[in-house]
Amino acid sequence: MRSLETIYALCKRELLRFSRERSALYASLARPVLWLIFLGSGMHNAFRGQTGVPYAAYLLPGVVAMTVLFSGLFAGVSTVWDREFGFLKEVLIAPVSRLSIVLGKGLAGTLTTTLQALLTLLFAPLVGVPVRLGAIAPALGIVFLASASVVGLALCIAARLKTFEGFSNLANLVALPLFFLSGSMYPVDDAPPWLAALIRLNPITYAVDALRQVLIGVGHYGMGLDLLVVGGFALLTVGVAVASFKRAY
Amino acid sequence: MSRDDPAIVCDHLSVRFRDFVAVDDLSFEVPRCSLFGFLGPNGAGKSTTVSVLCTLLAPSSGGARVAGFDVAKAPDQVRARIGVLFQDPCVDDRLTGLENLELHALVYGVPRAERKQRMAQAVELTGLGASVNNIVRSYSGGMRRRLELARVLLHRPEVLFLDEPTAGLDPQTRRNFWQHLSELRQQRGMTVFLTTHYLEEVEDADAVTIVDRGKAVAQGSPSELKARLPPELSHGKAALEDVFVHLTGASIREEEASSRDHVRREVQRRGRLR
Repeated sequence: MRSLETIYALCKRELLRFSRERSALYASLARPVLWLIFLGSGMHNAFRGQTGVPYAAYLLPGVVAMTVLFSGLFAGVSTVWDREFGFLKEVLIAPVSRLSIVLGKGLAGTLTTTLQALLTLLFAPLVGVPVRLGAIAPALGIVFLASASVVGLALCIAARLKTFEGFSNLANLVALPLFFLSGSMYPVDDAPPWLAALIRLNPITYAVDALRQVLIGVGHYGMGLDLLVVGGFALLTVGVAVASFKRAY
Repeated sequence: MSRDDPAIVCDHLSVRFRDFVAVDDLSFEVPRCSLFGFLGPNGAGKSTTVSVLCTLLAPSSGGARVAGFDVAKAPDQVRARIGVLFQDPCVDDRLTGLENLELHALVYGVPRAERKQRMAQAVELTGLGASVNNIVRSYSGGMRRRLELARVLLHRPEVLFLDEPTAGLDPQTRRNFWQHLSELRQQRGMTVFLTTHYLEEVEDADAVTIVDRGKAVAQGSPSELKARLPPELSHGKAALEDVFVHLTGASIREEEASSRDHVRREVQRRGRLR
């Protein structure tokens, strides 16, 4: 019961902060503009894919996945920030389990990340990429799972790296390969075998694939496999994050 | 905790960081409901001791009991019974004062039925008034301190740790802070454990311990300590500051940065506190 109250309190705090920090909002709106219009339209003719959809539409799941990756990893920054500015101490000297602190931080980050992905999805039609209304709920489910896995990863990093600089450097080092090797920008079949192998090893690939099936009805792996990989990765990263924090605090 | 148990027992406590001894075989007792001054120059081991007493750092050897519970064996029991104002304020400055209070009440499991009333009481006692509805970013240093004090009162701690609570505040704000605190002590009968560099703040403490390089160098009431001062040094009317300088030397502590960094680095390595 106390654990639930702690999780609720930490989520509420993060959502209040999110609602007051407009920059996160602008970033989730700017991303579709930059990627769908500038890259999507530019690549339209070069990309005569076998998929039968315009490149911008093909790119949308990747842009959503990018929102998940960058916003999710940013949730780790908030933990580093809390440590730097003392707020973490206020929570750590409270008579609550370390598990509920990690789950609270994790769920809070997952919720704000999912919110940003929702904004990206809702904004896409305004830049000419239609989104079926019925696709939004299942897409958000996938986004939630994928966000949990990325936030878990961010918390694992934050448990070890104690400075902003250290965290941002490593987060960038992690985010970019995860994005480029996720099949977000081109079909896996078109990649050379060594690259395709790396893409298949990346859990984010399966999140992008699941989103693509939901959003434009094109997919590479089965939905079952996609969800299994994304869900399994989420369990793994959150589990390791909990263990890291228990060891560290 | 029975009535006669001391609020804090520190029993041969040592904290070592690799080759550096921050706290060295330190023992003292703090009776219930007393005001206890814990003094020492920079780098003497004050904050390290506070970290151990409030369960953020494990002792290397020896131990401590707070509110009747062992800090290492029953940290949650200790945590539920203490309130801490750390050297650096740790309120969330993107939330309003009231939101900070709500968060604390939730995390400390203050019964839902009592939350509103306790928050209103804490706001009144600390004189925060209507500014409690403003975002904390707009608060002055003194207001942040009072907000922390209000927050700590919500779960009704038996023992209150104040680690240099008035550092960096102007004299008016300091006086105001102590007025609020003394009213609180009268109403609640809390034990207060205070570290400070403003020695006049502990002139009316019940007991004082002066530490230097991790060891206790003097213990007693302020008047006892002043009586021990050689007459040629007391200039007729001794202040606690004369005792302090006499016992810990007049040289300025150059090791301030290095030893604090040392502690911080080590605490980081162990992964506690920071």
